[in-house]
Amino acid sequence: MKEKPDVLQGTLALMVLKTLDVLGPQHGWGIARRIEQISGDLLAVNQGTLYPLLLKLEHEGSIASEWGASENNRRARFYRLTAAGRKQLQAETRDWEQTAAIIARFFKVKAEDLG
Amino acid sequence: MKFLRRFLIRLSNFVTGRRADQRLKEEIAEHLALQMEENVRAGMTPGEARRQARLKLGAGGAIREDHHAEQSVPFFENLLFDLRYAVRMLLKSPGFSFIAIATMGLGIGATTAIYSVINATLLHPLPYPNPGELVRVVDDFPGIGARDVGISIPQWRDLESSGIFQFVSISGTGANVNLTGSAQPERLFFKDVTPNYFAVLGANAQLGRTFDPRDATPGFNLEVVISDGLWRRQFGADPHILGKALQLDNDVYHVVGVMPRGFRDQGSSSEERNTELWLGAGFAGLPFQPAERGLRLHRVVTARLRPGVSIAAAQGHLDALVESLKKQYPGDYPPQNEWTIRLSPLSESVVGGVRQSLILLFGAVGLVLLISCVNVANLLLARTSDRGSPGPGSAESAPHPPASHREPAALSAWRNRWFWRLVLYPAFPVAACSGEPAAQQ
Repeated sequence: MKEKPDVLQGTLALMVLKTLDVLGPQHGWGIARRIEQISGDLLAVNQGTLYPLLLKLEHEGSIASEWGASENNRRARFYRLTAAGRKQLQAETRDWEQTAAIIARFFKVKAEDLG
Repeated sequence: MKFLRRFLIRLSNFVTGRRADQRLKEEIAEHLALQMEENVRAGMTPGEARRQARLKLGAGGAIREDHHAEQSVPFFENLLFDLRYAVRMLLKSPGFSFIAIATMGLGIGATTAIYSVINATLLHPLPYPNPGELVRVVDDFPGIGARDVGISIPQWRDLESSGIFQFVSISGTGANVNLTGSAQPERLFFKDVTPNYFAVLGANAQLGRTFDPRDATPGFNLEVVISDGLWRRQFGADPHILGKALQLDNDVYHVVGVMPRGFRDQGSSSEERNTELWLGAGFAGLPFQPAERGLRLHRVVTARLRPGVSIAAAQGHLDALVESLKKQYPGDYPPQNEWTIRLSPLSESVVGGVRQSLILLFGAVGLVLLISCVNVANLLLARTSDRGSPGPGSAESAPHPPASHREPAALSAWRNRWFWRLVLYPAFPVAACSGEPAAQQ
Protein backbone atom coordinates (compact mmCIF):
# COMPACT_ATOMS: atom_id res chain seq x y z
CA MET A 1 0.00 0.00 0.00
CA LYS A 2 1.27 3.44 -0.86
CA GLU A 3 1.77 5.72 2.12
CA LYS A 4 0.16 9.10 2.30
CA PRO A 5 2.75 11.82 1.56
CA ASP A 6 4.08 13.77 4.51
CA VAL A 7 3.38 17.46 4.52
CA LEU A 8 6.25 19.22 2.88
CA GLN A 9 8.38 21.21 5.25
CA GLY A 10 7.00 24.71 5.47
CA THR A 11 3.87 24.11 3.46
CA LEU A 12 1.81 23.40 6.55
CA ALA A 13 2.44 26.95 7.73
CA LEU A 14 1.26 28.25 4.37
CA MET A 15 -1.90 26.11 4.62
CA VAL A 16 -2.61 27.46 8.09
CA LEU A 17 -2.23 31.05 6.93
CA LYS A 18 -4.46 30.48 3.90
CA THR A 19 -7.10 28.76 6.03
CA LEU A 20 -7.22 31.69 8.44
CA ASP A 21 -7.36 34.07 5.48
CA VAL A 22 -10.37 32.30 3.99
CA LEU A 23 -12.30 31.33 7.11
CA GLY A 24 -11.41 34.14 9.50
CA PRO A 25 -10.59 33.42 13.16
CA GLN A 26 -10.51 29.70 13.89
CA HIS A 27 -9.54 27.40 16.73
CA GLY A 28 -6.95 24.64 16.31
CA TRP A 29 -9.39 21.89 15.52
CA GLY A 30 -11.14 24.01 12.91
CA ILE A 31 -7.86 24.66 11.12
CA ALA A 32 -6.83 21.01 11.25
CA ARG A 33 -10.18 19.89 9.91
CA ARG A 34 -10.18 22.41 7.10
CA ILE A 35 -6.71 21.33 5.96
CA GLU A 36 -7.85 17.73 6.01
CA GLN A 37 -10.99 18.48 3.99
CA ILE A 38 -9.22 20.54 1.35
CA SER A 39 -6.42 18.04 0.87
CA GLY A 40 -9.06 15.39 0.39
CA ASP A 41 -7.63 13.12 3.05
CA LEU A 42 -4.51 12.72 0.94
CA LEU A 43 -2.28 14.28 3.55
CA ALA A 44 -1.46 12.51 6.76
CA VAL A 45 -1.25 15.24 9.34
CA ASN A 46 -1.05 14.39 12.98
CA GLN A 47 -3.39 17.08 14.14
CA GLY A 48 -1.30 17.62 17.23
CA THR A 49 1.71 18.88 15.23
CA LEU A 50 -0.39 21.91 14.43
CA TYR A 51 -0.11 23.40 17.93
CA PRO A 52 3.68 23.92 18.10
CA LEU A 53 3.43 25.39 14.60
CA LEU A 54 0.68 27.78 15.66
CA LEU A 55 2.83 28.94 18.57
CA LYS A 56 5.76 29.47 16.22
CA LEU A 57 3.67 31.53 13.80
CA GLU A 58 2.39 33.55 16.72
CA HIS A 59 5.95 34.23 17.90
CA GLU A 60 6.83 35.34 14.39
CA GLY A 61 3.91 37.74 14.43
CA SER A 62 2.02 36.24 11.49
CA ILE A 63 -0.95 35.28 13.60
CA ALA A 64 -2.41 36.31 16.93
CA SER A 65 -4.59 34.39 19.35
CA GLU A 66 -7.05 34.95 22.16
CA TRP A 67 -9.53 32.94 24.16
CA GLY A 68 -13.08 32.74 22.86
CA ALA A 69 -16.10 30.45 22.92
CA SER A 70 -16.31 27.48 20.56
CA GLU A 71 -19.45 26.24 18.68
CA ASN A 72 -20.67 24.38 21.75
CA ASN A 73 -19.89 27.24 24.10
CA ARG A 74 -16.68 25.95 25.58
CA ARG A 75 -13.47 27.90 26.05
CA ALA A 76 -11.23 27.63 22.96
CA ARG A 77 -8.19 29.47 21.70
CA PHE A 78 -8.96 31.35 18.49
CA TYR A 79 -6.27 32.24 15.96
CA ARG A 80 -6.51 35.08 13.47
CA LEU A 81 -4.30 36.46 10.73
CA THR A 82 -2.40 39.70 11.50
CA ALA A 83 -1.52 42.35 8.93
CA ALA A 84 2.02 40.99 8.80
CA GLY A 85 0.67 37.48 8.31
CA ARG A 86 -1.50 38.62 5.40
CA LYS A 87 1.50 40.20 3.72
CA GLN A 88 3.53 37.05 4.30
CA LEU A 89 0.75 34.93 2.83
CA GLN A 90 0.65 37.05 -0.34
CA ALA A 91 4.42 36.85 -0.77
CA GLU A 92 4.53 33.12 -0.19
CA THR A 93 1.58 32.49 -2.50
CA ARG A 94 3.40 34.33 -5.26
CA ASP A 95 6.59 32.33 -4.66
CA TRP A 96 4.72 29.08 -4.56
CA GLU A 97 2.83 29.73 -7.81
CA GLN A 98 6.05 30.69 -9.53
CA THR A 99 7.79 27.50 -8.41
CA ALA A 100 4.82 25.37 -9.42
CA ALA A 101 4.65 27.02 -12.85
CA ILE A 102 8.34 26.37 -13.50
CA ILE A 103 8.07 22.73 -12.46
CA ALA A 104 4.94 22.29 -14.58
CA ARG A 105 6.73 23.65 -17.61
CA PHE A 106 9.57 21.17 -17.07
CA PHE A 107 7.12 18.29 -17.05
CA LYS A 108 5.37 19.47 -20.22
CA VAL A 109 8.49 19.73 -22.36
CA LYS A 110 9.17 16.64 -24.49
CA ALA A 111 12.42 15.72 -26.14
CA GLU A 112 11.21 16.57 -29.68
CA ASP A 113 10.13 20.06 -28.57
CA LEU A 114 13.76 20.89 -28.00
CA GLY A 115 14.72 19.57 -31.50
CA MET B 1 13.33 40.17 11.38
CA LYS B 2 10.75 37.45 11.88
CA PHE B 3 13.39 35.14 13.23
CA LEU B 4 14.68 37.79 15.61
CA ARG B 5 11.20 38.57 16.90
CA ARG B 6 10.56 34.89 17.51
CA PHE B 7 13.89 34.43 19.26
CA LEU B 8 13.38 37.44 21.52
CA ILE B 9 9.93 36.28 22.59
CA ARG B 10 11.29 32.82 23.35
CA LEU B 11 14.21 34.29 25.24
CA SER B 12 11.94 36.47 27.33
CA ASN B 13 9.75 33.43 28.03
CA PHE B 14 12.85 31.55 29.12
CA VAL B 15 14.07 34.34 31.37
CA THR B 16 10.71 35.06 32.97
CA GLY B 17 9.87 31.36 33.18
CA ARG B 18 6.57 31.90 31.38
CA ARG B 19 5.13 28.59 30.27
CA ALA B 20 2.38 27.66 27.85
CA ASP B 21 1.67 24.19 29.23
CA GLN B 22 -1.72 25.06 30.67
CA ARG B 23 -2.83 26.74 27.49
CA LEU B 24 -1.80 23.73 25.40
CA LYS B 25 -3.56 21.37 27.76
CA GLU B 26 -6.82 23.29 27.42
CA GLU B 27 -6.47 23.55 23.67
CA ILE B 28 -5.89 19.82 23.30
CA ALA B 29 -8.78 18.95 25.59
CA GLU B 30 -11.08 21.14 23.49
CA HIS B 31 -9.64 19.68 20.30
CA LEU B 32 -10.31 16.14 21.46
CA ALA B 33 -13.86 17.04 22.54
CA LEU B 34 -14.67 18.57 19.16
CA GLN B 35 -13.15 15.64 17.24
CA MET B 36 -15.01 13.16 19.43
CA GLU B 37 -18.32 14.83 18.79
CA GLU B 38 -17.71 14.62 15.08
CA ASN B 39 -16.75 10.97 15.34
CA VAL B 40 -19.98 10.25 17.24
CA ARG B 41 -21.99 12.05 14.59
CA ALA B 42 -20.29 9.79 12.06
CA GLY B 43 -21.76 6.83 13.92
CA MET B 44 -19.00 5.62 16.26
CA THR B 45 -19.59 4.45 19.82
CA PRO B 46 -18.36 7.00 22.39
CA GLY B 47 -15.42 4.75 23.37
CA GLU B 48 -14.33 4.24 19.78
CA ALA B 49 -14.87 7.94 19.06
CA ARG B 50 -12.50 8.91 21.87
CA ARG B 51 -9.90 6.38 20.73
CA GLN B 52 -10.00 7.58 17.13
CA ALA B 53 -9.78 11.22 18.21
CA ARG B 54 -6.65 10.49 20.22
CA LEU B 55 -5.08 8.53 17.35
CA LYS B 56 -5.70 11.40 14.99
CA LEU B 57 -4.15 13.89 17.38
CA GLY B 58 -0.88 11.93 17.61
CA ALA B 59 1.52 11.28 20.48
CA GLY B 60 0.76 13.71 23.30
CA GLY B 61 4.30 13.68 24.73
CA ALA B 62 5.92 14.66 21.45
CA ILE B 63 3.43 17.48 20.92
CA ARG B 64 4.02 18.81 24.42
CA GLU B 65 7.78 18.71 23.90
CA ASP B 66 7.66 20.48 20.57
CA HIS B 67 5.29 23.04 21.97
CA HIS B 68 7.53 23.62 24.97
CA ALA B 69 10.62 23.83 22.77
CA GLU B 70 8.89 26.47 20.68
CA GLN B 71 7.80 28.40 23.75
CA SER B 72 11.28 28.61 25.27
CA VAL B 73 14.91 28.08 24.22
CA PRO B 74 15.76 24.42 24.92
CA PHE B 75 19.48 24.98 24.37
CA PHE B 76 19.68 27.49 27.21
CA GLU B 77 17.40 25.39 29.38
CA ASN B 78 19.66 22.39 29.06
CA LEU B 79 22.76 24.47 29.60
CA LEU B 80 21.32 25.97 32.75
CA PHE B 81 20.24 22.57 33.95
CA ASP B 82 23.65 21.02 33.33
CA LEU B 83 25.50 23.91 34.92
CA ARG B 84 23.32 23.72 37.99
CA TYR B 85 24.06 20.03 38.16
CA ALA B 86 27.78 20.66 37.81
CA VAL B 87 27.77 23.23 40.61
CA ARG B 88 25.90 20.81 42.84
CA MET B 89 28.46 18.08 42.17
CA LEU B 90 31.29 20.48 43.03
CA LEU B 91 29.62 21.52 46.27
CA LYS B 92 29.19 17.88 47.18
CA SER B 93 32.95 17.29 47.09
CA PRO B 94 34.57 20.48 48.43
CA GLY B 95 38.03 18.94 48.70
CA PHE B 96 38.10 17.99 45.08
CA SER B 97 36.67 21.35 44.06
CA PHE B 98 39.26 23.22 46.09
CA ILE B 99 42.15 21.37 44.46
CA ALA B 100 40.71 21.84 40.99
CA ILE B 101 40.00 25.54 41.52
CA ALA B 102 43.43 26.16 43.06
CA THR B 103 45.17 24.39 40.19
CA MET B 104 43.33 26.37 37.56
CA GLY B 105 43.73 29.56 39.60
CA LEU B 106 47.50 29.21 39.62
CA GLY B 107 47.64 28.69 35.88
CA ILE B 108 45.25 31.49 35.02
CA GLY B 109 46.75 33.88 37.57
CA ALA B 110 50.30 33.44 36.33
CA THR B 111 49.25 33.85 32.71
CA THR B 112 47.22 36.98 33.44
CA ALA B 113 50.04 38.53 35.47
CA ILE B 114 52.63 38.03 32.77
CA TYR B 115 50.21 39.07 30.07
CA SER B 116 49.48 42.35 31.79
CA VAL B 117 53.23 43.05 31.90
CA ILE B 118 53.55 42.20 28.22
CA ASN B 119 50.52 44.28 27.37
CA ALA B 120 52.00 47.31 29.11
CA THR B 121 55.54 46.96 27.80
CA LEU B 122 55.66 45.09 24.50
CA LEU B 123 52.22 45.80 23.09
CA HIS B 124 51.76 49.40 24.24
CA PRO B 125 55.24 50.60 25.12
CA LEU B 126 54.61 54.25 24.28
CA PRO B 127 51.12 55.65 24.75
CA TYR B 128 51.81 58.71 22.58
CA PRO B 129 50.84 59.70 19.03
CA ASN B 130 53.25 58.54 16.27
CA PRO B 131 55.58 56.74 18.70
CA GLY B 132 57.85 55.78 15.79
CA GLU B 133 59.12 59.36 15.63
CA LEU B 134 60.29 59.34 19.23
CA VAL B 135 64.00 58.74 19.81
CA ARG B 136 66.43 58.82 22.66
CA VAL B 137 69.65 60.80 22.13
CA VAL B 138 72.94 59.92 23.86
CA ASP B 139 76.63 60.74 23.45
CA ASP B 140 79.21 58.00 23.01
CA PHE B 141 82.95 58.38 23.45
CA PRO B 142 84.32 55.04 22.22
CA GLY B 143 87.86 56.45 22.31
CA ILE B 144 87.77 56.54 26.10
CA GLY B 145 85.33 53.67 26.53
CA ALA B 146 82.35 55.77 27.60
CA ARG B 147 78.82 55.00 26.43
CA ASP B 148 75.42 56.54 27.14
CA VAL B 149 76.93 59.80 28.30
CA GLY B 150 74.68 62.82 28.74
CA ILE B 151 74.76 65.91 26.60
CA SER B 152 75.57 69.50 27.41
CA ILE B 153 73.24 72.47 27.12
CA PRO B 154 75.12 74.04 24.18
CA GLN B 155 74.98 70.70 22.39
CA TRP B 156 71.23 70.55 23.08
CA ARG B 157 70.86 73.96 21.46
CA ASP B 158 72.85 72.68 18.47
CA LEU B 159 70.49 69.73 18.14
CA GLU B 160 67.41 71.94 18.44
CA SER B 161 68.62 74.24 15.68
CA SER B 162 69.95 71.44 13.45
CA GLY B 163 66.60 70.94 11.65
CA ILE B 164 66.79 67.17 12.09
CA PHE B 165 64.19 67.11 14.86
CA GLN B 166 60.84 68.73 15.52
CA PHE B 167 61.77 69.11 19.16
CA VAL B 168 64.53 67.92 21.45
CA SER B 169 63.74 67.83 25.15
CA ILE B 170 65.76 67.30 28.27
CA SER B 171 64.25 65.90 31.39
CA GLY B 172 65.69 65.37 34.82
CA THR B 173 65.50 61.99 36.49
CA GLY B 174 62.98 63.39 38.93
CA ALA B 175 62.84 63.32 42.70
CA ASN B 176 60.44 63.61 45.59
CA VAL B 177 59.13 66.91 46.85
CA ASN B 178 56.85 67.95 49.69
CA LEU B 179 53.58 69.54 48.76
CA THR B 180 52.42 71.71 51.67
CA GLY B 181 49.82 74.39 52.19
CA SER B 182 47.04 72.27 50.75
CA ALA B 183 44.45 70.29 52.70
CA GLN B 184 46.74 67.30 53.05
CA PRO B 185 50.55 67.59 52.91
CA GLU B 186 51.90 64.98 50.55
CA ARG B 187 55.21 63.69 49.26
CA LEU B 188 55.10 63.62 45.49
CA PHE B 189 57.31 62.62 42.61
CA PHE B 190 58.19 65.47 40.29
CA LYS B 191 60.21 65.73 37.14
CA ASP B 192 61.90 68.84 35.75
CA VAL B 193 61.57 69.05 31.99
CA THR B 194 62.34 71.52 29.25
CA PRO B 195 59.22 73.45 28.22
CA ASN B 196 59.00 71.55 24.93
CA TYR B 197 58.75 68.19 26.72
CA PHE B 198 55.01 67.73 26.13
CA ALA B 199 55.40 68.87 22.54
CA VAL B 200 57.90 66.03 22.06
CA LEU B 201 55.51 63.48 23.53
CA GLY B 202 52.58 64.97 21.61
CA ALA B 203 50.47 65.24 24.74
CA ASN B 204 48.04 68.02 25.58
CA ALA B 205 46.52 69.12 28.86
CA GLN B 206 42.86 68.29 29.55
CA LEU B 207 42.57 71.57 31.46
CA GLY B 208 44.68 74.66 30.90
CA ARG B 209 47.87 74.18 28.89
CA THR B 210 51.25 72.52 29.01
CA PHE B 211 54.43 74.61 28.91
CA ASP B 212 55.07 76.95 26.00
CA PRO B 213 57.73 75.19 23.86
CA ARG B 214 59.31 78.55 23.02
CA ASP B 215 59.70 79.54 26.68
CA ALA B 216 63.40 80.37 27.10
CA THR B 217 63.59 80.85 30.88
CA PRO B 218 67.06 79.62 31.88
CA GLY B 219 66.09 78.28 35.32
CA PHE B 220 62.73 77.03 36.62
CA ASN B 221 59.89 78.97 35.01
CA LEU B 222 57.81 78.40 38.18
CA GLU B 223 55.02 76.78 36.24
CA VAL B 224 53.76 73.33 37.14
CA VAL B 225 51.64 70.83 35.22
CA ILE B 226 49.91 68.26 37.42
CA SER B 227 48.58 64.78 36.76
CA ASP B 228 44.91 63.87 36.64
CA GLY B 229 45.35 61.61 39.67
CA LEU B 230 46.77 64.40 41.83
CA TRP B 231 44.13 66.84 40.62
CA ARG B 232 41.33 64.51 41.69
CA ARG B 233 42.90 63.25 44.89
CA GLN B 234 44.31 66.43 46.34
CA PHE B 235 42.11 69.11 44.78
CA GLY B 236 38.77 67.33 44.31
CA ALA B 237 38.94 67.85 40.52
CA ASP B 238 38.56 71.60 41.11
CA PRO B 239 37.82 73.24 37.72
CA HIS B 240 39.34 76.52 38.97
CA ILE B 241 42.72 75.00 39.76
CA LEU B 242 44.51 76.98 37.02
CA GLY B 243 46.69 79.70 38.49
CA LYS B 244 46.60 78.16 41.96
CA ALA B 245 49.87 78.48 43.88
CA LEU B 246 51.48 75.24 45.08
CA GLN B 247 54.09 75.24 47.79
CA LEU B 248 56.67 72.63 46.78
CA ASP B 249 59.37 72.43 49.44
CA ASN B 250 60.38 76.08 49.73
CA ASP B 251 59.26 77.35 46.36
CA VAL B 252 55.92 78.46 45.01
CA TYR B 253 54.79 77.26 41.60
CA HIS B 254 51.64 78.11 39.68
CA VAL B 255 49.47 75.43 38.15
CA VAL B 256 49.10 75.98 34.40
CA GLY B 257 47.56 72.67 33.33
CA VAL B 258 46.18 69.27 34.23
CA MET B 259 47.16 66.26 32.13
CA PRO B 260 44.40 63.88 30.94
CA ARG B 261 43.48 60.80 32.90
CA GLY B 262 45.23 58.30 30.60
CA PHE B 263 48.51 60.21 30.33
CA ARG B 264 51.54 58.43 31.69
CA ASP B 265 55.05 59.75 31.59
CA GLN B 266 57.80 57.71 29.98
CA GLY B 267 60.69 56.40 31.99
CA SER B 268 62.35 53.24 33.15
CA SER B 269 61.07 53.16 36.73
CA SER B 270 57.45 52.92 37.77
CA GLU B 271 58.03 56.00 39.93
CA GLU B 272 58.94 57.95 36.82
CA ARG B 273 55.99 56.62 34.88
CA ASN B 274 53.72 57.76 37.71
CA THR B 275 55.11 61.28 37.84
CA GLU B 276 52.52 63.70 39.24
CA LEU B 277 54.22 67.06 38.88
CA TRP B 278 56.11 68.45 35.93
CA LEU B 279 58.22 71.58 36.46
CA GLY B 280 59.32 73.63 33.50
CA ALA B 281 63.01 74.47 33.42
CA GLY B 282 65.66 75.68 30.98
CA PHE B 283 68.52 73.77 32.66
CA ALA B 284 70.83 76.69 31.91
CA GLY B 285 70.43 79.27 34.72
CA LEU B 286 70.37 78.94 38.50
CA PRO B 287 69.92 76.59 40.27
CA PHE B 288 71.40 74.59 37.38
CA GLN B 289 75.06 74.51 36.35
CA PRO B 290 76.13 77.12 33.79
CA ALA B 291 75.73 76.16 30.14
CA GLU B 292 79.18 74.90 29.24
CA ARG B 293 80.11 72.45 26.54
CA GLY B 294 82.19 70.39 28.92
CA LEU B 295 79.32 69.76 31.36
CA ARG B 296 77.56 66.76 29.88
CA LEU B 297 75.02 66.28 32.65
CA HIS B 298 71.76 65.70 30.83
CA ARG B 299 71.30 62.03 30.34
CA VAL B 300 67.61 61.83 29.49
CA VAL B 301 67.21 63.44 26.10
CA THR B 302 64.06 62.63 24.19
CA ALA B 303 63.44 63.96 20.71
CA ARG B 304 60.76 63.80 18.05
CA LEU B 305 61.99 63.31 14.50
CA ARG B 306 60.46 65.25 11.63
CA PRO B 307 57.59 63.24 10.09
CA GLY B 308 58.76 60.73 7.50
CA VAL B 309 62.43 60.89 8.49
CA SER B 310 63.81 57.47 9.41
CA ILE B 311 66.16 57.00 12.31
CA ALA B 312 68.94 55.92 9.94
CA ALA B 313 68.54 59.06 7.81
CA ALA B 314 68.51 61.26 10.92
CA GLN B 315 71.60 59.48 12.19
CA GLY B 316 73.34 60.30 8.88
CA HIS B 317 72.56 64.01 9.24
CA LEU B 318 73.65 63.85 12.85
CA ASP B 319 77.06 62.35 11.96
CA ALA B 320 77.67 65.25 9.58
CA LEU B 321 76.70 67.69 12.32
CA VAL B 322 79.12 66.00 14.75
CA GLU B 323 81.99 66.35 12.24
CA SER B 324 81.42 70.07 11.82
CA LEU B 325 81.08 70.60 15.59
CA LYS B 326 84.36 68.76 16.19
CA LYS B 327 86.09 71.18 13.85
CA GLN B 328 84.38 74.13 15.47
CA TYR B 329 85.21 73.17 19.05
CA PRO B 330 88.39 71.07 18.91
CA GLY B 331 89.07 71.82 22.59
CA ASP B 332 85.80 70.31 23.78
CA TYR B 333 85.79 67.33 21.44
CA PRO B 334 89.37 66.06 21.13
CA PRO B 335 89.75 63.57 18.25
CA GLN B 336 91.01 60.72 20.48
CA ASN B 337 87.62 60.63 22.25
CA GLU B 338 85.90 59.72 18.97
CA TRP B 339 82.73 61.56 19.98
CA THR B 340 79.49 60.47 18.35
CA ILE B 341 75.81 61.10 18.97
CA ARG B 342 73.62 57.99 18.85
CA LEU B 343 69.88 57.78 18.26
CA SER B 344 67.78 54.82 19.37
CA PRO B 345 64.02 54.26 19.24
CA LEU B 346 62.42 55.37 22.46
CA SER B 347 60.38 52.16 22.64
CA GLU B 348 63.61 50.17 22.80
CA SER B 349 64.94 52.17 25.68
CA VAL B 350 61.68 51.64 27.57
CA VAL B 351 61.48 47.90 27.02
CA GLY B 352 65.24 47.52 27.03
CA GLY B 353 66.65 44.06 26.86
CA VAL B 354 63.74 42.31 28.53
CA ARG B 355 61.77 41.62 25.33
CA GLN B 356 63.26 38.15 24.86
CA SER B 357 62.92 37.09 28.46
CA LEU B 358 59.35 38.39 28.65
CA ILE B 359 58.31 36.34 25.63
CA LEU B 360 60.06 33.33 27.07
CA LEU B 361 58.36 33.84 30.41
CA PHE B 362 54.98 34.17 28.74
CA GLY B 363 55.57 30.91 26.90
CA ALA B 364 56.48 29.26 30.18
CA VAL B 365 53.38 30.40 32.05
CA GLY B 366 51.30 29.42 29.02
CA LEU B 367 52.64 25.90 29.44
CA VAL B 368 51.93 26.04 33.16
CA LEU B 369 48.32 26.92 32.35
CA LEU B 370 48.18 24.05 29.87
CA ILE B 371 49.57 21.64 32.45
CA SER B 372 47.10 22.75 35.08
CA CYS B 373 44.26 22.31 32.56
CA VAL B 374 45.46 18.78 31.80
CA ASN B 375 45.72 18.02 35.50
CA VAL B 376 42.21 19.19 36.22
CA ALA B 377 40.89 17.29 33.21
CA ASN B 378 42.63 14.19 34.55
CA LEU B 379 41.12 14.72 37.97
CA LEU B 380 37.65 15.05 36.51
CA LEU B 381 38.12 11.95 34.38
CA ALA B 382 39.51 9.95 37.27
CA ARG B 383 36.58 10.94 39.43
CA THR B 384 34.15 9.93 36.70
CA SER B 385 35.66 6.49 36.15
CA ASP B 386 35.85 6.07 39.91
CA ARG B 387 32.09 6.43 40.04
CA GLY B 388 31.69 3.59 37.54
CA SER B 389 30.27 3.89 34.09
CA PRO B 390 26.91 5.51 34.56
CA GLY B 391 24.11 4.09 32.48
CA PRO B 392 20.50 5.04 31.96
CA GLY B 393 19.68 3.03 35.07
CA SER B 394 21.58 5.16 37.55
CA ALA B 395 19.10 7.93 37.47
CA GLU B 396 19.44 8.69 41.14
CA SER B 397 22.55 10.82 40.69
CA ALA B 398 21.43 12.65 37.60
CA PRO B 399 17.88 13.89 37.43
CA HIS B 400 16.35 14.07 34.00
CA PRO B 401 16.39 17.39 32.29
CA PRO B 402 13.09 19.13 31.75
CA ALA B 403 11.11 17.64 28.86
CA SER B 404 13.05 18.44 25.70
CA HIS B 405 14.70 15.03 25.54
CA ARG B 406 12.97 12.54 23.39
CA GLU B 407 13.09 9.12 24.95
CA PRO B 408 14.25 7.25 21.86
CA ALA B 409 17.54 9.16 21.95
CA ALA B 410 20.33 6.77 21.06
CA LEU B 411 22.39 5.34 23.87
CA SER B 412 25.58 6.75 22.40
CA ALA B 413 24.10 10.21 22.43
CA TRP B 414 23.15 9.58 26.00
CA ARG B 415 26.68 8.59 26.94
CA ASN B 416 27.93 11.60 25.09
CA ARG B 417 25.74 13.72 27.27
CA TRP B 418 27.08 12.04 30.35
CA PHE B 419 30.55 12.94 29.31
CA TRP B 420 29.53 16.56 28.99
CA ARG B 421 27.76 16.58 32.28
CA LEU B 422 30.37 14.86 34.36
CA VAL B 423 33.57 16.06 32.79
CA LEU B 424 33.14 19.24 30.87
CA TYR B 425 30.40 21.13 32.66
CA PRO B 426 32.15 20.96 36.05
CA ALA B 427 35.08 22.52 34.26
CA PHE B 428 33.12 25.72 33.63
CA PRO B 429 32.39 26.62 37.25
CA VAL B 430 35.90 25.56 38.20
CA ALA B 431 37.37 27.81 35.56
CA ALA B 432 35.01 30.63 36.49
CA CYS B 433 35.95 30.41 40.17
CA SER B 434 39.66 30.33 39.39
CA GLY B 435 39.59 33.04 36.78
CA GLU B 436 37.62 35.55 38.79
CA PRO B 437 40.32 36.46 41.36
CA ALA B 438 42.97 36.34 38.67
CA ALA B 439 41.08 38.79 36.52
CA GLN B 440 40.88 41.23 39.39
CA GLN B 441 44.59 41.39 39.87
